[in-house]
Amino acid sequence: MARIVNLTAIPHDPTLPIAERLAAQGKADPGALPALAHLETLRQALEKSRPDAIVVIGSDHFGQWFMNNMPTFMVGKATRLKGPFPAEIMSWGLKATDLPIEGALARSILKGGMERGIDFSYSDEFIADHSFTIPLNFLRPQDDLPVVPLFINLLAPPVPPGWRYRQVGGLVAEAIEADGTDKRIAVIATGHLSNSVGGPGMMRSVKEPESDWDRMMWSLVRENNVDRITELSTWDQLYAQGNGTPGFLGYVFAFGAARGAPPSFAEMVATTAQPACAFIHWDEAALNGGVA
Amino acid sequence: MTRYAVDKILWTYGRDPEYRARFNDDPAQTIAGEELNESERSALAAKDIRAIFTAGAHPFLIYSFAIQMNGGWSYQFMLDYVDRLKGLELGNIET
Repeated sequence: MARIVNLTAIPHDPTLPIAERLAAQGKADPGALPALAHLETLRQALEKSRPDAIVVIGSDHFGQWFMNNMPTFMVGKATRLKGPFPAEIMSWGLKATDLPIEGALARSILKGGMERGIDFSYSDEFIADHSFTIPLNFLRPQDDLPVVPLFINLLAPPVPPGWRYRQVGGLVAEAIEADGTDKRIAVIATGHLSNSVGGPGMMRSVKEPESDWDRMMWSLVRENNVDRITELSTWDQLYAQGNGTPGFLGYVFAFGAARGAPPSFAEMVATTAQPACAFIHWDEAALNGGVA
Repeated sequence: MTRYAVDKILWTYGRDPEYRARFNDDPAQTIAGEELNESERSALAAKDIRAIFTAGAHPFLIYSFAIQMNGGWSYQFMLDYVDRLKGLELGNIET
């Protein structure tokens, strides 16, 4: 039985790698430094967990999937995870990423997920955009582990209500554990707090880094009140907080994968340097009833 | 629903340099064969970000379209973009 030894949910904001480069020259916006510090803490935690492979859950941003055929939940089972898109590398100076995909685990998640009631789409040919590569680059910069990408739709409505993201997170965790190996698996999910990229509220985070919604949702995160978090995570409720806020469903997926376990680390960063962002982590003991 | 065609035009503009060049040169002619209602057609032909938003296009696609049309992103560009959307409320964007 494979074991989930690390579950991390972090942002994929492209300004973070830019801030990382500026920080190396002592030029970063001070408001970005707490986020970079949390990412370093979580990188160390992932290293300490000694994973054999990483399952990474991200969302395409219209780089390839479009409303001509929009998958809600998709397993990527090509031989390599390549990305991000050239335009993303050019715009934000992102690192090109090319990692082996753990094909057996990808198929275990796909088929094990189907047996548990997830009508997954799957793809053998895709690009993993910045929402995959930025978390991977921060948390495993060595690029030395095989990965499995899961695409979840956080962007193009309609999308299922929050309970389904939570449920799929839990079922994916079960499918990982039932894969018949003794591998140690890390899971990385990504998403947003309140966010308005491309919408009329896009500059709100500069004037008001932390919205009432961010405060309310964060207090629920601190209480590990997953039922209430889930109830509040429908497209309409999240979208009303900014057109990018449905990205929070990536965190709901992570809470589902945790299956009720309280996080071992939870920090929100709300500064004017970037939209509010959440860093949530479950270590091996937190995920396995106190047993590491 | 014709909103899909609006999103598809914005999406294609962002991905296809040849389409982008044609659209920049003559937007009305480029979208002439598309299934659009009149307000969508006039918004796109005028490259009017505010009107395209009001027509219900996806904000992420509008933003990408505007960045491409601008020839790239800058902080001042972002301020100008948000200024063009000032006072607007988010509406339904399902296609």
